[in-house]
Amino acid sequence: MDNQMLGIINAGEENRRLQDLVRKRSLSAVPVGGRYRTIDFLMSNMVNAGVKNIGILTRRNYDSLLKHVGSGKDWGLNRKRGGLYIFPPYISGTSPSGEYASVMDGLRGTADFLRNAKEQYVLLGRSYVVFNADFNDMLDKHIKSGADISLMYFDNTNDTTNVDQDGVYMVTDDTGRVTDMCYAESKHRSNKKSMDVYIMKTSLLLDFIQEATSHNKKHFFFDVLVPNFNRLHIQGYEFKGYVGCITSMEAYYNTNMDMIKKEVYDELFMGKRKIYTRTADGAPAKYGPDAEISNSLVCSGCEIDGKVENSIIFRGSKIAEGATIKNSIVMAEGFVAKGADIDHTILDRHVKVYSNAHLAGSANHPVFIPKGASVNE
Amino acid sequence: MINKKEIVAMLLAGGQGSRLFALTQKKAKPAVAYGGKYRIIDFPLSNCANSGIDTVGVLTQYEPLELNSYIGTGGSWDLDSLNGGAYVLPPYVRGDSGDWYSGTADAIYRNINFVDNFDPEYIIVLSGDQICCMDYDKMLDYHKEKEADCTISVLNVSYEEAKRFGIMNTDDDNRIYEFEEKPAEPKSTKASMGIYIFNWKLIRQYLIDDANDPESEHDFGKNIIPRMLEEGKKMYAYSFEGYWRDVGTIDSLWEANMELLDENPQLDLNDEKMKIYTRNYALPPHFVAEGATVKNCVLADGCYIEGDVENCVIHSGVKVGKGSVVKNSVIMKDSIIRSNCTIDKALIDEEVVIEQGCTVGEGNSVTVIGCHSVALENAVVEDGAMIYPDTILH
Repeated sequence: MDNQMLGIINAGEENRRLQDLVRKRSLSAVPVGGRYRTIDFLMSNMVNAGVKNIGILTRRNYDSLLKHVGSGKDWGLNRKRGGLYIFPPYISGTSPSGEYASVMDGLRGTADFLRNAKEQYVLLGRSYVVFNADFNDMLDKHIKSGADISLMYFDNTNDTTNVDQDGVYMVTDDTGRVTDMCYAESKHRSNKKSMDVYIMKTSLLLDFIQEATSHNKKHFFFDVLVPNFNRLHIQGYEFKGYVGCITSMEAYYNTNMDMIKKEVYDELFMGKRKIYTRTADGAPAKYGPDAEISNSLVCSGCEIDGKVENSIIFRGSKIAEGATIKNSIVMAEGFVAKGADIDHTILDRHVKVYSNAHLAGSANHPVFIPKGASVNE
Repeated sequence: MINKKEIVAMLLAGGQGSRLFALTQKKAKPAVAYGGKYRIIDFPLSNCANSGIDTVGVLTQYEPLELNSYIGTGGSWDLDSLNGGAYVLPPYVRGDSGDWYSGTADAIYRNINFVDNFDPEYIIVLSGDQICCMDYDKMLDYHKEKEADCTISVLNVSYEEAKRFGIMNTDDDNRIYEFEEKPAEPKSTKASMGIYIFNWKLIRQYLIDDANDPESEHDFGKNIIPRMLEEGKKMYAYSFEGYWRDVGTIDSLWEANMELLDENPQLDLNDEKMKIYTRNYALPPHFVAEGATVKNCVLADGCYIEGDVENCVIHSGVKVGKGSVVKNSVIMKDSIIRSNCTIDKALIDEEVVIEQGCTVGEGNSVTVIGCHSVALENAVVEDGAMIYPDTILH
């Protein structure tokens, strides 16, 4: 299966509902699950399927992303043949501002990359989905189905992460062929929620790009896919594993909390398909004699001397003796002092919570403290 | 001579470390695990990277397979640089003769061509079986400042300890006038750490002469250093102040691990300037389940803890089941302890499985279980036992 498929990650997506979480970084670089960034999941899935050629489309605020992926070394992508390609926006005849006006605009920048690729198929995805999928199985089924495009979806009947259930839904016939796609608001919608992962022939994507350029089309599925429903065979591929869609602050919080469930943790991280990320070479976590910890994930470089319950403590954080952390997310290099008490709270990177400060949100509305902030009593 | 280097490191990693018994049956001492995620050899390799030395020859001999694959390109220690790198140098056949390295000096002698490739001014000879955070660049500065022919790193030990070490007797300026191996009545407490800087041109000739001496044991401490002293070479002792442990025995390895649990351990593994790098294995954060307790522990990535662990160093990927109590122990990579076990003061090597209801040790002397061993249900491993690899315990 190797070298059959190349990968394109659209890391230029925007989501204003993530508020401060994406103010200083792109959605693809949002820290999640202790030591990961959202893009790690899609990128690792690609690497695990033998994809050796990956292009990343960036749009704005991509410095965190670039720092994170670097040369691609941590994903084994620093190769002489293939490897990692970054496509930042640039000023061109069609984009005088130097910004991507749309997804299709961004994809146009990859046209040469696609044209030069030897891989017959391309896997196109976005980085906001937390999942561990076998893309080779999807490619197999895609080839067998004879479809032009395969689109990955999951049944979101039991998805509790996204309470407002936003996203794109699809309707399929008995054979799994997609017959309609619509936004969540539509009364025609099903429970088959798109995960924005597509497989198609590289040549077909090139055709779409050309078509979009000549007709000034902006949106990949509304302008390119939907008008072609009759002409194209679009096949649905159901993903049955865990899916966390980071589309809102609440969904971000819930997806993290899901990872403290043993079955989700095992499925995402402990199977054969590893999730890779940038290594930081921190020392193993150290627990003090008075540490109290329960149902939590803790990363290397941490020092835990206080009480931690149902929480995720990211790399290099210090939880002082006498601090209490419950149902919370403490991102990298955080500090929580003695007497501080935080519950249902998200601390972005480098946040300091000083003595006796109290922060309490709720599952639906976690408190969010932005990157680098200090919280006093 | 395109890639001239100021200094090349030669890391002696061929020792078996026979006093670690079960732990070094299947791997060389430098590959022994330590501190939750490290192997002993990570320390000299990281020190090189942190000291700006990018060319390291790693001399292997005993059970080299694990070390060779572990070091790979040296990328984990940032040593996969342009014109530099980590080079694994096992003994090889040359012409019609081929033999094992017969001593530390012989190992370097037989790689003279390797060092010559880099045309260095200096070489630093390092030991691959110590835990030590050291900036070799400072030692090199000292060597240059003294215009020395050889600089030997020394540690100030107690008078009693001095009887167990190679001791450097120096004048007020730290110039060495005498070397005594394990003196009964030490005249100084400056113990050699087995780290030497030599001027390459000079030591190169000494190595050749030594190789031609049938009486020699081809050892730096026994032959080269005494001969250089005899011939009045400028040899200086460089006093190192910092963390250094020779973890050559089961007790010292166990103690060095336990020292990491001190409130303010002498060895700060999170020190940004002297970071210790190691091979990474794409593991998630560790998971401490509901009902578990973790107190005074070092706990690495990828562990899943349901039981009670106290005063332990737990390496990556270890599982501890419900109702198990693990105390004062070091559990190495990927070992599994199932439910309701009691473990006290043990060194459990990699990929060991302890089935439910087992008892390992009683906390008096260190109990050792070698890698890939399996303790079947309700097995009792006596306090202080030494279990060799691949054993099945009933």
